[in-house]
Amino acid sequence: MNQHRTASGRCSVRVLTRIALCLVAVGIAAVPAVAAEKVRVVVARNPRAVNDRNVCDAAETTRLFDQALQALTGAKTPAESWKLLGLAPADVVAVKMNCNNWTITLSPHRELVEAVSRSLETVIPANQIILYDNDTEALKESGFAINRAGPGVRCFGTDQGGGFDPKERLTRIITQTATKIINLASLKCIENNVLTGLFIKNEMVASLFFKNHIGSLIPQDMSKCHDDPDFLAEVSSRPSIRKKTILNLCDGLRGAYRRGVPWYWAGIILSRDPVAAEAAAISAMNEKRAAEKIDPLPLPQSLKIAESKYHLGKSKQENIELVRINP
Amino acid sequence: MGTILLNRLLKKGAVSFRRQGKMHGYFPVLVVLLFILCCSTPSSQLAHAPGPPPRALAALAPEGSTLSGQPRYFGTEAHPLKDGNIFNYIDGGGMVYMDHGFIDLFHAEYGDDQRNTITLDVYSMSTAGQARQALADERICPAGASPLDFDTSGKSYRFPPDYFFYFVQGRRLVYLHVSDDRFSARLTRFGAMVKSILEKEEP
Repeated sequence: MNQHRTASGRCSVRVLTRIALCLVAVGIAAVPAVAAEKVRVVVARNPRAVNDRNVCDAAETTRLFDQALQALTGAKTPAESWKLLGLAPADVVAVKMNCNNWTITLSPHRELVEAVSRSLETVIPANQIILYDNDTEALKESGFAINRAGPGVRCFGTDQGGGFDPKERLTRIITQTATKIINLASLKCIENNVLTGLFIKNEMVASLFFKNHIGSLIPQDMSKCHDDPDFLAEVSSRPSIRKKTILNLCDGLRGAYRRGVPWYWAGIILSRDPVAAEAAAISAMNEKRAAEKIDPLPLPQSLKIAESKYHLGKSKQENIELVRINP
Repeated sequence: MGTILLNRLLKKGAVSFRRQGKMHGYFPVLVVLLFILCCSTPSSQLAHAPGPPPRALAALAPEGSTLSGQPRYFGTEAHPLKDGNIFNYIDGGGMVYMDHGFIDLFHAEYGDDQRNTITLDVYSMSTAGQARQALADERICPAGASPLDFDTSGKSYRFPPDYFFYFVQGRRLVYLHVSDDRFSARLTRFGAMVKSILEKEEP
């Protein structure tokens, strides 16, 4: 009996090995086609969009966003661009913002958010746009008017967003109400001292687009992201975020190239791919850090995991088509 | 900083020890560090249960400004306060305060008729030594600070339009920020008022 089992086991192993070899061969054949497909990231800068007191010029900011969006999609109008990104007139779009007034103001600029909203309104009514963050108070402190159910663009925190989905453990704003998501992060880095061997090394511990969705989580899970890069990456692989996100946008009109130290980069970064967009944002911070003679920031662990384990995008330069524009 | 380093070394050493099933090179270092730390920690710096910031703080407002909404109180994950824990306030940025024995945070916002805002954060640490360590930590107070008029050990920063500073009073680390740096003198006067209130709670 045992011999019979062993023999059939060997047979199964052979069959499985052949199947695996066939799959590898098919995979190898398919690789060139996949590798050839690059992810587009648009890095757009306009020094007239913001001054050195963090005051935005609405018209210049709008021009910056509109041209960046068209550079991303190749379309001629905002409406065509959104349609190419998958937006339909019946959609409800949730824009996840990162309102952060801690130490220095790095909340999204209202002028940029208004430019995004106006652009979206070429396809959907204003009332089908929801601006959100986890904390209604933080939205207010960042200058956004709360509008839970009135006419126009809606704006509220997840604390007023109808609760959390028990399965995905995410706000119902994105699991239930919205059909599309825009991930609007701020260009900032949070550094931490990490012990490597007996030495303390300064490393970037928080990310941009991935960290932004901490604010979409059920509050009990938020702190898990702070020391668990796998958990942080996994959040963005949950169906509602993965399937509904149509655009990753980084507000770098004013950013921080080291914790608590701002600079006016006067740019934005756009991509459909959160990993590629985040890599580009870190690269922008590293250009500034090089100019200030500070060690470059490494790619955070969460980004590597997002790419390798959850297949959320690409971070390597050879897989990215970087389009720089200066409207 | 020594405590943080030791905690992390202990964690790392313990993991290595478990993984390899034998004494690892870290262990003698840990023992020595533990010994040094135990010998050097004065009894006055041992953690004690802190009280909330004085009530007078909640009644205070900078000249020309009024309190916007209610003050907010944040604790730790283990002991959240009325408005949750520190991560509800500053996300991952809270980790660095936890490293310095963070206990609770008093947060208040003030506004004037020109829409300028002033922010007051009072971080309570377990000990005065930890509050001073937090002030010395560049992850909280970046390099390039200027001294404060009313507290020479304090640190101020001007990043237009932001102006903010930190100082320590007892086991409290105080942060004050004004949204328009042209009102930095007003913020400084308010900082001196906050300091005098906190001084009164000292034994």
